[in-house]
Amino acid sequence: MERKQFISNAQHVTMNNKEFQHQKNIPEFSSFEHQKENILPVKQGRSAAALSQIFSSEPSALYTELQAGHDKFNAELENLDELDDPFDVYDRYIKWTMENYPQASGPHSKVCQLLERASNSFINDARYKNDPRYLRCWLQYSKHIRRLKEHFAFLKSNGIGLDLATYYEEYAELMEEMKCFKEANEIFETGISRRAQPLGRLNKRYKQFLTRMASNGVNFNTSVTQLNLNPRRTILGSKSSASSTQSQPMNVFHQRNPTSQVVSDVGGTSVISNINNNRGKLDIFYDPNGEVGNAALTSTDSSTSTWNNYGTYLTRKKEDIREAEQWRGVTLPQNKKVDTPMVAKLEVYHDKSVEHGSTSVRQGKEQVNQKETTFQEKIQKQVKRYELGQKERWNIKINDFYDENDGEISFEEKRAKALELLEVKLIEDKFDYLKPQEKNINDKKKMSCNIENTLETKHLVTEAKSPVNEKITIIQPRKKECNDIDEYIIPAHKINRLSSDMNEIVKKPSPTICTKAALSDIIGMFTFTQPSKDIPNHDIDEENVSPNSNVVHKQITKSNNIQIPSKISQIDGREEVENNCENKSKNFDTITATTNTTPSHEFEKHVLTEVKSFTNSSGFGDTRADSLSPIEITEEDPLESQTFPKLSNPCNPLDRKVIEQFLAVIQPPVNRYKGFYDARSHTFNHGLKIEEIARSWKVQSRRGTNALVNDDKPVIFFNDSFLIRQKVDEGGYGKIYRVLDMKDFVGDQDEKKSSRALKIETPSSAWEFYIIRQLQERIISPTIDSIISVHSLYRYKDESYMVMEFCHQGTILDAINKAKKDNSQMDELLVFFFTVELLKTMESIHQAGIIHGDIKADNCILRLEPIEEWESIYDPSGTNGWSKKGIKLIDFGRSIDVTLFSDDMKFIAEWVTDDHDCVEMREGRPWKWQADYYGLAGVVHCMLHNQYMQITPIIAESNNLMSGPATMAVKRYKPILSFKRYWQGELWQKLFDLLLNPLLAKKDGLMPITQELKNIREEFEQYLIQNCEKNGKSLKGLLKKLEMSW
Amino acid sequence: MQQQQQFELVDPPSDAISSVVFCPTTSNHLLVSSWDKTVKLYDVEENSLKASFQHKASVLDCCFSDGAHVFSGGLDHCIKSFDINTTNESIVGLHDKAVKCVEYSLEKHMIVSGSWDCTIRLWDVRKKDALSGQYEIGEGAKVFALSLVYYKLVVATAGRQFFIYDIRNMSETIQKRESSLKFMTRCVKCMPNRQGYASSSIEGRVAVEFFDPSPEIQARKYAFKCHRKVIDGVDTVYPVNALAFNPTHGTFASGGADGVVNIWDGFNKKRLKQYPQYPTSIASLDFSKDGQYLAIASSYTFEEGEKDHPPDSVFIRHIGENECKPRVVASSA
Repeated sequence: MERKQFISNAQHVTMNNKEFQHQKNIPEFSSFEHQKENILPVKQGRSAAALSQIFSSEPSALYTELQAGHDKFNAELENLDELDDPFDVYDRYIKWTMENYPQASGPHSKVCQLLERASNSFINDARYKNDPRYLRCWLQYSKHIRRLKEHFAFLKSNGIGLDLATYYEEYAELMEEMKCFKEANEIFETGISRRAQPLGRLNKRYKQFLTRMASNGVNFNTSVTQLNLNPRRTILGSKSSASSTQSQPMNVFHQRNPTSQVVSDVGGTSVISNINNNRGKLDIFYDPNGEVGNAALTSTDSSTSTWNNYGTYLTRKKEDIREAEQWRGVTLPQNKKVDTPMVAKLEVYHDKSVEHGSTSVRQGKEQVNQKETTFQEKIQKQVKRYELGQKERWNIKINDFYDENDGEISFEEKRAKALELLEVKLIEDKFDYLKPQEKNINDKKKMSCNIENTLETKHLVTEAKSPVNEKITIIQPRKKECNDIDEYIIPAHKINRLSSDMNEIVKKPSPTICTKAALSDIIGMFTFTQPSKDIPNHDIDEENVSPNSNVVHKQITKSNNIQIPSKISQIDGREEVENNCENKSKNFDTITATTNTTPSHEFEKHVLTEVKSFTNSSGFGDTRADSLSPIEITEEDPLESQTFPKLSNPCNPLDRKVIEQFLAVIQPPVNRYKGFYDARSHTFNHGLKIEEIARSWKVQSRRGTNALVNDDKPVIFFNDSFLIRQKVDEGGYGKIYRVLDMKDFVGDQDEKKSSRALKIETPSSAWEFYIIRQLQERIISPTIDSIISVHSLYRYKDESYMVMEFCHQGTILDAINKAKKDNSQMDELLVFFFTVELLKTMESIHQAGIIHGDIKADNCILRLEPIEEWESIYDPSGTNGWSKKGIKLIDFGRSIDVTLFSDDMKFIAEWVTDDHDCVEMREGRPWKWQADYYGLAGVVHCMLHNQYMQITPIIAESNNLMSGPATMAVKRYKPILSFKRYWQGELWQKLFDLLLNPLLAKKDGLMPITQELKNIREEFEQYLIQNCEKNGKSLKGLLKKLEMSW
Repeated sequence: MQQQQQFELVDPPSDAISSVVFCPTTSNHLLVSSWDKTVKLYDVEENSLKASFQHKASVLDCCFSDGAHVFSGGLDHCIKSFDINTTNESIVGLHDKAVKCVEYSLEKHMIVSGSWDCTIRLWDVRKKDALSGQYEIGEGAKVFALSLVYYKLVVATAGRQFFIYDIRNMSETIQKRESSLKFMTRCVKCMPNRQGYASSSIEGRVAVEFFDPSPEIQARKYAFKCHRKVIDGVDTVYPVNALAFNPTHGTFASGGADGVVNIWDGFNKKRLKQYPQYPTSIASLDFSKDGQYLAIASSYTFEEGEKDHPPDSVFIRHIGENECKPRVVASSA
């Protein structure tokens, strides 16, 4: 068998040679050079091919391969009992593991664990007592865990390897290293005398050893035990006097076991006598001849205790592992900072039975008492119940509010239980609700009063003792009085059951209730405000409106500047309201409750509006003292009052009707916003006039004269007047002019401060105003600066005038056009900057639940405000002046407030689409957030290429998300134009891919993809930080240049 | 009209009052839900009853969505909706057990209801099938109180647990906390500045906590004793049934079973005011939107079981400008 070992070695070597000769691919050292320190050197050498393969292959692939190997071996190991030579399996396994885990070192590695396993498995197996492989396995194991000496002793005591030369060679080598030359000598001699095989080799080694010893001057001829060649202290021994070279060992062993025989065999009473002198000090165990611990050279017979099991490394390392202890009221470290109120200390619940139980288990199960088992059964989950401190007492009966399991019962539950109302479902027969409510209103009101009366007389609360009886008495008289009402009465037969099977009632509902469809039908009938119901009310209202129309239509005006025809009538609050009430109540006798005498018991919508008008709540941030915005009370169309429009999914979000409905429904209503001037009942019709003035200014500027325009009369809305200047823009919606706010206007000075943007829209709309105000409310971050702010909206019947802040600098489109004119392009660095700004802004508005709907280059105004301290290095957080530079998003006329719709709502475009609209719009598919993503991509494209974006689907894209016909539906798009070589193509590509294919961004196709965009934005920001001052280009400089051009 | 500092509402409910809520838009409209199965709308300025709606069983909570729509729920397990203008009523939906709390989210346009069946349900009345979502909080987690601010929902349940949700994503809790108070929770209210919430227990204590889980912010949380009376040298501990935040100043009021209402400055940890004792336990409190009024429901809350008690009523108190203002110049929490 030993020969096998050599042969295999030789084979290994020759194999290598063969490999070297025959293999075309010689594994390169460089493939595992980077790991060379990790490779544990093996005497026999390692296969370079194997190493190269291990270190160059993919970790995951490698792992699976290795796993497969492990599995294979493990399978073999299972059949160990059947095999003739089971150790062979281990042997191969060990070899394989060593090959594949080159850095195997230390006791926790796979190799070592395997060796441990292998070694321990065959300790008592006679077959392997002198098997060189087995011995080698042990030796390798001991080398890994560095316990060679012990192992040798162990092996000896179990008779392993004692006939093998290897054993003695290795042992002697160890001794030699430890400088126990005598030991080593003895070992060799023992081995030779036992005729360990291969003897020749052993002899040779011995001779070599002797030669070495001779050269070191070690003599083995003396038989005197010469442990110490040089006088030195015994281990932790104490010197009897300062000058003595002899040291006496401290022997704990002696002290503890003075009668121990082993020790007494040791010669030298002097040792013992010293003990008495040194009682105070801690004695150290010293084993002079190694008799106690090391039985290496003594006989292997029974005098030493059987040492059958070496145990695993881990068990020997028991000090490292803390045994599980009883959790006995351990104080846990607390963070003292938190201020907790002083309460009585909580006692940790001790499970006393377990303490007994554990000992009893050791003794054997017979000892388990009955008492203990029942105790253990009672261990429930521990419920914390605190106690009040000393000197504190409850005013409540605290135990009333806990149930059997220490669950809490609130006061209301207690009361409900007392009234026995907890289990009974009073809506037994929901079928009752199918009857139209209308005609029962009268009766209901009567009913409610009657119930109230009866309840007052028989106060249920006070007589909880016999609640069942109470119920019956109350209900029966009801039944007598109002026979036509079924709804509030519990049918008599069910009352009888009340006392008994309460659960039964709950469990046996009538079939009509069970189905969700039925229930939804019922609910459906009542959640709509159906016109048919309203009309009767409406008619009644109408009757009363005409005589009181003066009262209804009012305006609270402040000054006379208003050119709108108005009736200025003071409202004498209370009187008129009461008048109305009285008038109306006379007409509504049938509906008014009979028992109540207050006139306004019946609640009228008009009364409500009256009341509303007197509360001077003018919405956003205005206090009472502030100037009142004229509030006109218009008669709201009752058909559309106060409910959200019912919309199909998907719907057109920009449908004017829908928008108007929303504006009517939202709370607080738009007309309460600060700056909203409602004049919907009047027409203004100044559009043409304004146009004229603007035109004459244009002409003026062309002529170059400085004279004022002749007809420079200000336009006046409500309280504010504006001077018209130039027209800035025009579109399908209306026109935008630059105007001057007379409040800020001072003569011929620079008009910058007083300039405003006046947007005239026909037909009139408050939508954009609403959206911008909502954004201002919802966005808290500094990105709010990137959205245009609106001052006021004057809303007339025909036109609406919106006054916004005016930005002097042009739009991104202007900047692009400028560059185009110069035959150049916007610098890529600038594009990065604006892209980041756009992304930030879009992120904010999306998070606020708004879709802009019309993001394009001419809707992004440059925002480059002057700032003194402006750092050159870009700072994405806005410090060092960077917050003053960016863009401003305008034109929210096509925006969508997502929060007004249900979460799953999608939109469709009912307008003629073109290249500016996103893919889904063009293909007639529903969309939501894509509109903005596409728009943003369009702007970036414009900035990069000076051209409008056109996209194309990427061919041959295997879409993992869907299969079948759907794969055709969702294509991947990219812009037609490719990026210039010297651009950051990778970054741009990522951005466009995400913006143009948002549905493919997330696995589940969910939107919005705000997080993904945020990630890209951060990448872009990083790029900017690193490149803002590089290669002669400066972001700051470019921005400054841009700023100067306006 | 007499400007008394405090007056009692005429025509109060005939049984215990479970909740008083002011209208978010019209500051003088007050909704009162009661164990007499009604939900009543009052005009506090006029001190008159404007409307009354009926349930089939005691109503435990009510809320407004806007000036004209009102939702309420109670022991009849349903959530009903009432239109003040048209007096139409309808059932929005059902729970499996009594509905304890009803709130309305302006941002989501949904009703949030919590019940003793340990679920929170969201209802969107704009849809045909109003149930927008049903969420199990946990085993045995009966909802005792809840409060909503912006998108944050704080639910206080039996077993002294608090669950904080983002109503945009109800499938998971943002945080789950054990109450800082050692006893059963009675009430929870969120701060108007969205920073955190105040909670109260049956043991005469109020805790002020914050949402931000970072240690620096969490270190700011605290609890204090209140609503206790020393009788014969022994501290009698009363449950604190109600909390309400003043929308203008961010200070809050607490009402206990001792019939006392206190105003606290949470930021400076001081008591600002204590109102003279009311006839019986305070069941509910609410400030009007403009901070002008404080509605105080003086109504026995059954903490001592069956007993005779003064009649249940609602008091309206005019809040002076400085009454609920934090004392120190530094801005309130």
